[in-house]
Amino acid sequence: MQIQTLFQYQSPLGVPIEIKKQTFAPAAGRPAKRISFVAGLHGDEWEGLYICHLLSRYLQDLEETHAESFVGEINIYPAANPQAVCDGTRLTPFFSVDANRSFGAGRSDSLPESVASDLFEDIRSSSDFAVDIHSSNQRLLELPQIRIVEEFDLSLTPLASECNVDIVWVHPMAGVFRSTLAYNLNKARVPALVVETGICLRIHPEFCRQVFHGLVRLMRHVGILKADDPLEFQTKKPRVVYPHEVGSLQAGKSGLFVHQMKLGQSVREGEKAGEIIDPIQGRVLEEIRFPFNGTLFTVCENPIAYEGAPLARAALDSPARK
Amino acid sequence: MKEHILELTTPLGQSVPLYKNTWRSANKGKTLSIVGGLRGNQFNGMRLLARLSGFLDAVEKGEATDYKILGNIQVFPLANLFAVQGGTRNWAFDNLDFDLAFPGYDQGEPTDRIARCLYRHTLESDFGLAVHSYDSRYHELAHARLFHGDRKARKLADGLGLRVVREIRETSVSELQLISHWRDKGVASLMLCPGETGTLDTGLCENLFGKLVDLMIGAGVLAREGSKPEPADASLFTPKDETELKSARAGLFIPDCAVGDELNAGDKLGEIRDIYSGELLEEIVAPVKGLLVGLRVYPLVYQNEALATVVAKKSRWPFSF
Repeated sequence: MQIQTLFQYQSPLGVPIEIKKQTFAPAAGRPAKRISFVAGLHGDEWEGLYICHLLSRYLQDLEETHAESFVGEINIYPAANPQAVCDGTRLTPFFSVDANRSFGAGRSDSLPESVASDLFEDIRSSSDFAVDIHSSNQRLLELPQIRIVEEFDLSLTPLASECNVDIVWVHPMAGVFRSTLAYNLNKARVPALVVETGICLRIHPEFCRQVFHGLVRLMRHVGILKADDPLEFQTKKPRVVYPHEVGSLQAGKSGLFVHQMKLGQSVREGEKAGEIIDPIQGRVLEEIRFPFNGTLFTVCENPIAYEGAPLARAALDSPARK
Repeated sequence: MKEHILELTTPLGQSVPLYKNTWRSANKGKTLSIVGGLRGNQFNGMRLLARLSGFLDAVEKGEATDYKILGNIQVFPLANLFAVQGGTRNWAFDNLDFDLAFPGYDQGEPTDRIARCLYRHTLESDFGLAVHSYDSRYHELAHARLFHGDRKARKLADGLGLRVVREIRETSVSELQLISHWRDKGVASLMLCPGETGTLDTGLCENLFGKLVDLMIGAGVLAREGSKPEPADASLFTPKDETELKSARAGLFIPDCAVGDELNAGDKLGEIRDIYSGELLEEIVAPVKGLLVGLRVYPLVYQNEALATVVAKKSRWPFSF
């Protein structure tokens, strides 16, 4: 394994800010295929850093014991936004820029956009496949899942189905995706999956191991690793859901949301999800009940809720008509 | 007239209303929409739209007798309500750049709802003006921005009569902005960048107020008895006309110039010094003759950050209505 400093720029203290990449080369010859794993574009999403760590440990061990397993090249960018990771913030500190809304603009007068442009070019030019790992936001806890924009359904869903996640969610396009890493990679014909798992500022080891197993499976599936090491991996077939198969629960009132929901829980229509309370008046403002039958793959963990806030998402048992 | 167009409620039960100010002529005329307060620290924009609203109220009441409202004018002075209330650039709760939230979603959270409400109220306008300045660390000469090749927007900018109009390239980010959505709906749309963010420059606001009145006359939504606006001596700068100067070294940037300066090639713009020793690390000089339209005002700089923007007048214009 080699660790390479891709970019370096100086902070006002004279301290270098560096983006690093680990590379595992094939045992012999040119790589059959190349894959890149990216984490830490949002500095408060640490599940991806841990998944990259699990991958790196596994691959380093494999290099020592089964070097011939490496048929392709594997690149890991464990902390793609190092300043934000060190500060634990979604946005890049100092610049207040969302690194995963900075792609596709090309080089510009903004340092974060220039860094994004260089990072994109490095990943694009060294990948036949890519996986960008995220952890939703500071409010929503996610079951391990892969999200796919509808236009890339055909090329990505077969790959996502190998990744040992619970859900593959094929969702409609929105303008905001145009400035993300994965969308731009897909447009550049590098199939790129977006993993969402866990929640910001936390590590859920069981989710991370699940995704780690899935990513190893993916590497075997696309012919980057030979499956000749003795380790057994979990194999879960995800449920692939399309927009009409996803139910959303939203707050009808603003207040504090108190609930007992659990990820993966099977819920029935009419069942109580929780309540929104008014902490000043001591009243219950709204009793929240599920409007669907399904399995929860997102639950809201932050009790502050404004009207319209997402409280839960479910894969529906009986999907609405298309 | 101050119209209440959306009601939001905080988790503690407090109502937060979104307003627009409207003035309508008896006859059906063209509609101009002006949106400000996209960030919570754009004080020049807030002052400018408050000044404009006071003036239009006076016109409506017959107190400014030289003027008459011919069309429909709607001003949305404060879009990002919670950021304004919190005194922050973005609303701390979602940390979203409000100008990228369009076209919004009326079943979503507050930022989505406000964006949707603004979008719905403005998308059938003939003219749209977003009053929006960017980085509080970068002082820009007051100017207008429009998308490259947008002829309708150029005509509108001509009426504004500003010294500098900059064309911007469409990117994956800029296409989320309000003026991009307006343009897609056929609205002649501009962004007015009223100088520095985070400070209030009342003299500049008064100057821009006059320009906005001229724009309204040019757009045909306001009439002034007697004189017409003077023809504008504006310059349109395309992306190719701009030269960006960046820091080769990180440290403390000490400027030696001001936005609006006419520069000659070789003029010193400032220097970067080491923050421990004070040692001179880099001297920044103008690479071309031109007008300084942007200058770093936040002294700490990273390596490779923008320090100054110089435009060289290549494309002369105006067009007229």
